[in-house]
Amino acid sequence: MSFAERIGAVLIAPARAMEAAAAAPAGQGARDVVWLVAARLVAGEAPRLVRAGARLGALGFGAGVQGFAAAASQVLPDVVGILIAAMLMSLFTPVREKASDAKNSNDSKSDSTGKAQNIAESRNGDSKKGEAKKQRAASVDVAAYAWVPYLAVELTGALIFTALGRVPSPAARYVTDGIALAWAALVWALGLRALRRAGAGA
Amino acid sequence: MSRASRWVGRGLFAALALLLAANIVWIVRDWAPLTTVTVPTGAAAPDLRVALLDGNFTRIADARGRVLVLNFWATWCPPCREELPGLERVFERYRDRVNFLAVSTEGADARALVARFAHDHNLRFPIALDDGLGSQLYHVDTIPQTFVIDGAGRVARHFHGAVSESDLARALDDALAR
Repeated sequence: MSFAERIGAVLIAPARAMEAAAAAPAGQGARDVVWLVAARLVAGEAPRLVRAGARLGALGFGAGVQGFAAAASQVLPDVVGILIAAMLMSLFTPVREKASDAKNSNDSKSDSTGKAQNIAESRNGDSKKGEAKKQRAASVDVAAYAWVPYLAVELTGALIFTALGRVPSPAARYVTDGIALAWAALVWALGLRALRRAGAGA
Repeated sequence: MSRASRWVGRGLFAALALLLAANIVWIVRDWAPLTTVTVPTGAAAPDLRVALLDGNFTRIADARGRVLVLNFWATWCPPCREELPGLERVFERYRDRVNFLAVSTEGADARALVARFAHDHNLRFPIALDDGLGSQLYHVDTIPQTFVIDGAGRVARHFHGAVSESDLARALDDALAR
């Protein structure tokens, strides 16, 4: 699946896209969304970035950095939201045990020597840690994709108001944010289900 | 399905490109105000009429003929709070020869809050309340900022961020010596 396909699938076939994301190599979702966040920053905050550049030239390094930080902070709520969503997702996803680990555990139980049991337990411990790490990475990937609907709604709203040449009213802003958050929450829930299924199937 | 997904994904990228294009149009149209980030040293200080804490009004142009220290600050701003005692000491030292005006950027609604703050911190220099026009005219988008305006009404020095007592005193000595 190409980048555009992965992003598009989150919007039109979220259940399938989340299952694919849960099974995809670790880091793919985070990488895709980092690109999107960067694009959103450049596209949406271009005037602030230009002003920060002007500050850098006129007022020096400190003022320039302050300006760029102020521009970057506009996407901070999105990034924090993704991280919180990922944390919650990993809390609700039990650490899966590989089939081979379960076998090791059973073999050691049937083995009469305590030494064999210790080795198997130690192997299982390391493997569990590795699995937990993988699962955390998968949580970040899936939670990152759940942000895509939020971006789509906010982007549509921004374009509509730009085309109308109007600043959105507080009510319009609440409605846009509400739709964006509800859709993102739904995709997040589908992502959680996909992760739990992937865990149960491992 | 994958074809539809690809097109929807491309649609999202196109929307990002459209937003960027709209912003570029806006940047090109408003290039001058967007990239003017300060009143340059040597330029005429914009005139400004602001309400003082006591309810009277003052103008920047009224100080013409005397050096003026124009400081932009807010009660919630930690570097501003750190800078104020030094500013107060410089005010005490130069008040006979220099006018001072500390403009709170919190607006007219914050009159009671700013008055209480000034009382609690024993600030004696004149404090004014800006509803945004002062910040706009002087391109103040971060605080604190301090302008030293000479007797001819030109910006002699501009301090971006908290100014130390010694730097401000030196700038005032230079402006007075002109």
